[in-house]
Amino acid sequence: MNNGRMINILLVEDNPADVRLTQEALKEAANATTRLHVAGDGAKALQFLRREGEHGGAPRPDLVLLDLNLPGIDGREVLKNIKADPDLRRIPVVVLTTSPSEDDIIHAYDQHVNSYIRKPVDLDRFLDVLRAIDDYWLGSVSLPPR
Amino acid sequence: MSLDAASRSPGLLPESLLRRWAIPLALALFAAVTAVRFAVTDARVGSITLLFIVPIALLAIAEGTWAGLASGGLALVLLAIWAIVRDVDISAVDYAARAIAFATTGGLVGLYADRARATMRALQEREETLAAVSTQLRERADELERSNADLERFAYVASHDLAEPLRTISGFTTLLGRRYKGRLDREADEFIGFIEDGTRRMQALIRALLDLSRAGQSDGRPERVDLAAALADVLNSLHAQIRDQDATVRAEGLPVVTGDAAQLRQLLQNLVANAVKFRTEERPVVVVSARHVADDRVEVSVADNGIGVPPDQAERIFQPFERAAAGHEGAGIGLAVCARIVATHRGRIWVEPRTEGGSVFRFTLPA
Repeated sequence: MNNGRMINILLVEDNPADVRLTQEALKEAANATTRLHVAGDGAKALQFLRREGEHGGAPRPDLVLLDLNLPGIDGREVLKNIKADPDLRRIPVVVLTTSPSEDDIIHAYDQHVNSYIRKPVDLDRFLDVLRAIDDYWLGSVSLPPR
Repeated sequence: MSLDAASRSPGLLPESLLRRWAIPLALALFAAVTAVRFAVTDARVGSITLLFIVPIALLAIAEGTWAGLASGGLALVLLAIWAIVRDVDISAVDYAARAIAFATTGGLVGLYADRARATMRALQEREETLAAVSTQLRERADELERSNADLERFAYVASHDLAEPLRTISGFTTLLGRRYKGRLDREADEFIGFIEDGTRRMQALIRALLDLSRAGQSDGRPERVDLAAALADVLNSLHAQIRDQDATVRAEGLPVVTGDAAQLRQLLQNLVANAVKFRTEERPVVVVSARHVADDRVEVSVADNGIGVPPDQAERIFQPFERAAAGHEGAGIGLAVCARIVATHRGRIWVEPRTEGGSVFRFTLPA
């Protein structure tokens, strides 16, 4: 669906180990040509999306992978901001978190999250999840034009 | 709480007799004497006596027997002074009659008032003690509930937060194994294997801890739960195990009970799964039955023909992470979860050996 197009993914995640694991997993799982950008907290993520400060020349991401528990502005706030912003709300946001809380799930969908995924503990299952994200969001889905 | 103990204290006269007859008798006697005086001699003596009788009675009620008697005596003296000052002729018989009237009124009314006061005091003290005890009990219950909730929260948070670093360890170990297996030496491969095995076991434990911390939490009010339907659901989800073990599960007369449907399904599921899992060479046969043990109580039994539970293990197996049988997978929390569910339903769970082999797990629930 998005043939030949370079896919930009913004990963919002504060844990460097998880960032690395996601990078490695995406490397193994992804079919599409992807570029992973990382924001370590909510404030940086919003700066990146709005191309503020050092992110002046940042590309517009095609997909946001969002952790909920972040220092400072947390993922719930980031999600609210994205979906309230007419320029950003079209960007699909996939929450990728360890939080099993039903409240978080309900709240995220209330805020128009595109998917809510619980990070599996097992690496192989995590790979499966990323492969599924890749197949669906970067393979099957027609993304909005930038 | 009762009045009886206080009011049965021994007195001059039986309490009931005093209470019922003494005061009416005293008043009747006094009224009769006064009436006779009114009719026969000088009406003023009767009136003045009547004037005295009311304060005597009031004093006796307020201050007790001795005050009543003293005011009776004082009234007699005042009567005598009044008679002398006004030059009224009162005979010795009249004085005697008034003395008796004043003394009986003051004494008996005072006695009765004292008794009533003592009873009231005792009652009040008992009430205060009771209130103190009930406050204490309530505080203790609150404290227990709080510490229980704290413990649950702690277990939940601990297990959830433990899962995070473990994810990192297991993720990178798997990655390490996948990318470098065979490229390091044989020992390194072995070590990676140990780490992987350890993280897997720890993951299972953390999952178990999470399950256990959630086991007692109900999200709704108690509802009517048809145990037969609940068991049918359970058999549906255990379909594969039951088929693989070639087991038979029979339900006999399961009633409708009161509780949390999801929890009761979990309870039955854990017990039936255990009954099928801990089997002997024989084909597993599990019978789930129930009987009323009181108007508002049902006892449910899950009987199996499995390996049984050694008597010295009968209590321990309901503790978390205790495993009676070796060589079986699982973290050993299935029965601990059962125990918690039964406890939140204010019931009891225990296991008994069956004479023909196997064991029977019994638990009670609100009907």
